[in-house]
Amino acid sequence: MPDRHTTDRLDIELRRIAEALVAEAPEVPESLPANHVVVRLHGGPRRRYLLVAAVVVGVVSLVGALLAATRRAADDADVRVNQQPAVTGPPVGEAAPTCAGDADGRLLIGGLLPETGDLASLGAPMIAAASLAVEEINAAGGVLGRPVEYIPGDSGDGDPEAANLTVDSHLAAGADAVLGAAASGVSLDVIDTITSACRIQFSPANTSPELTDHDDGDLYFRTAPSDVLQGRALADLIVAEGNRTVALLAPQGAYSEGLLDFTKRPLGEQGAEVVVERTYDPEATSFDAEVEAVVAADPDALVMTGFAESSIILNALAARGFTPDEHGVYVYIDNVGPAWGESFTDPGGPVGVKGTRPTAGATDEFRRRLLLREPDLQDFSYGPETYDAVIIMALAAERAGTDNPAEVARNINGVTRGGEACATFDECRDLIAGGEDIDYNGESGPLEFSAAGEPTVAGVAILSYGADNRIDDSLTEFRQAKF
Amino acid sequence: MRTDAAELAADDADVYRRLAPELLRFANALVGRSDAADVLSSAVVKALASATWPAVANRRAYLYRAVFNEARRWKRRAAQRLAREARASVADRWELPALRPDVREAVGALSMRQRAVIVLTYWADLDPTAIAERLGISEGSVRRHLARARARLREALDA
Repeated sequence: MPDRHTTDRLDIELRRIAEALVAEAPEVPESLPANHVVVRLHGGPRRRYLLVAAVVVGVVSLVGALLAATRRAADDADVRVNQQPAVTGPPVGEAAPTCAGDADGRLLIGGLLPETGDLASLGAPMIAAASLAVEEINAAGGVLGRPVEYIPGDSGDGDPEAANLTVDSHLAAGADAVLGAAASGVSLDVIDTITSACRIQFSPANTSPELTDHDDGDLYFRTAPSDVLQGRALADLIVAEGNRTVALLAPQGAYSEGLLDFTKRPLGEQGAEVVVERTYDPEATSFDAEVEAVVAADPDALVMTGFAESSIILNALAARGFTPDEHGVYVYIDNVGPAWGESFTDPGGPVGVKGTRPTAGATDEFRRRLLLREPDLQDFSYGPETYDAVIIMALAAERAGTDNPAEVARNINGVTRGGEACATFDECRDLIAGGEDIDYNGESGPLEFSAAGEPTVAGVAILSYGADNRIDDSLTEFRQAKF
Repeated sequence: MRTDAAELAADDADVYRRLAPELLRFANALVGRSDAADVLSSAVVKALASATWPAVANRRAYLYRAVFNEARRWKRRAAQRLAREARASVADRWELPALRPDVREAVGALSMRQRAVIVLTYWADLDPTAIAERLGISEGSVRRHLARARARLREALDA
C-alpha cells in the first residue's frame, strides 16, 4: 500500500498543481482582439459600428479606443435605461382612516396566528414574539399608563371559518387590533370584517402585493415586505452572483405571474437580460417545452416562481445537463415550501439552488430573549416582524394619546420613519413623551413604512440547498432589500 | 453625475493593464491555454459594457467573477460545439509536464468551480471568505468545493 499523503504533503502537492495550472497561461493580449469583440457582442448594429469604427480609426492606444467605444456603448445603454420612468419609492404619508372608532383607554390586541394545522410550526416564533413584546411593553409601564392586553387566537388550518370565528370573538371582546394572519389568503378572508368594524389589522408575515392596494379603509398594516420587494431582493442576488442572462418560468395564475413580473422588472433595471420568459400549466404532467426553451437559451440563471412542480422541471433540466452546479437556479422558498428538497428523488438534485424568504434574521440577542420564553423554539422566522408589529402599534397609541383604532392607525406609518431614531419601546416612548417625532428601527430592520402601511426596507433571507437535499442553515445569509 | 467618457475609458484601460495578467492566469486554470485569452477578452468587454460597472467598488473581485462566469459559459458553448468530437483531453488544455499523467487527468476532471477554488486557495492564497466574495458564491459552497477537490486530488496522488 502506498504512503498516504498527510495534510501538509497534500497542501504542497496542491500548491504545485495550482501553480502548474496558471503557469501555462499564454501571453497577455496587448489589447482586446477587435474581430473577437465584434463577433461576441450582441449589442446590435450601432454598438458593433462603434467598435469597428474605433479600431479602424487607429487611435494611439488600441486598448483605450476599444474601451472608450465600449464605454460609449455602455453610455448608450445608460441613456436607454434613463428613458424608462424614473424608479422612485412608493408614496410616503400617514394612513387616513375615515371611520370614527371607539376608545376605552387600554390597548387590546387579539392574535390571529397559526396555533394548529400545517402552519403551526411557522406560528411558534410569531406567537412567542407577540407575547415577548407585550411583556416588555408592560414591564416598561404599558401604553397610556395601562398594561397592554393580548388575547391569543388561532388562525386555524386554512379554513376561513376558523379564522372568522377567532376574529368575531376578538371584535366582540373590544380588541383595538388583530395581529395576523400569517398567510395572505387568510388575511384576505378576514380583512373586510376587521376593517369595516374600524379596527386595525396588522400582519407580521403577509407578502401578497394584493394587500398593498386592498380597499382596507387605511386600517391594514404589515411588517413583512410585499413580494414586490422580495422580487427586488432576488434580482439583486442574481445580478450580484454575476448572472447576466436569465430565464424565468412561472405557473399560470395571477399570483405567480405577478411574482415573475416583480422579478423581471428589477432584473431589467440592473442590466440583466431576460432570455426566456414562459408560463406553464402547473397541472401539466410534463414540462418538455419549458425545459427545451431553457436548454436552448442556455442562460446563466433560471428563476422559478412556481410551487412543488418546480422539482419536476429541475429534474428534467438536470437530465439535459442544466444543473444548479453550473447555473444559478433560484426559487421563492415560501412558494416551494421549506421541505421542497425532499421531493427530489435524485440525491443532490437541488444542491446549489438558492431562494429567498422575506423575513429578517433574528439577532442572537433577540433569539435569547425569545428562547427564555419558549426554550423549544427551533425557527425564528417572522419573529422579529411580529415583535415589531406589536411595538409599532403600542408606540402609535402613545403618539395618538388614545387606543381609538382610527387614531392609532393614523400614527403608525409616522413612528417608523422620519424623526429621532430609537430602537426599543421605552426609549421611543420617552421621546414621544418629550414631544419628539420618532423613527422606530426594530428587530426586523428600519421598516420605513410607505403610505400603504408596509415596509420599504426589509430583511430578506437567502437560503441555500445543501447536501441531503435540505436547506443548509449554515449557508443562510440575510440581506436588506429596499425600494 | 457623469465623469468625462474619455477619462473613464483611460481609467478602464489602466484597470485592464493592471489586472489582465492575473486574470489571464486564472482563466487559463479554468479553460486551458487555447481559450484563456478569448475568455478574458470576452469577460472584460462585457464587464466594462455593463451598466453596473461604473458603480462597482471592488473591480478586481468583479472581474474575477466575470472571468469565472464567462469561463462557465464558454465551457457550455464549447461542449455543445464539440458534442460530436471526442472530449478534449486534458493534454490539449494543459500540458502540465510537472504532473504525473493520472494526476493530470484528475485535475482535468475537476469541475470548473473546484478548479477555481483550488487556484484561488493555493495560488492566490485567499481564504474561503475572500474566495466567496471574489466568485460571488457562498462561503459554505467554497468550502464544499475545496473539500471535494482536495478529496479527489488526494485520491489521485495516493494512487
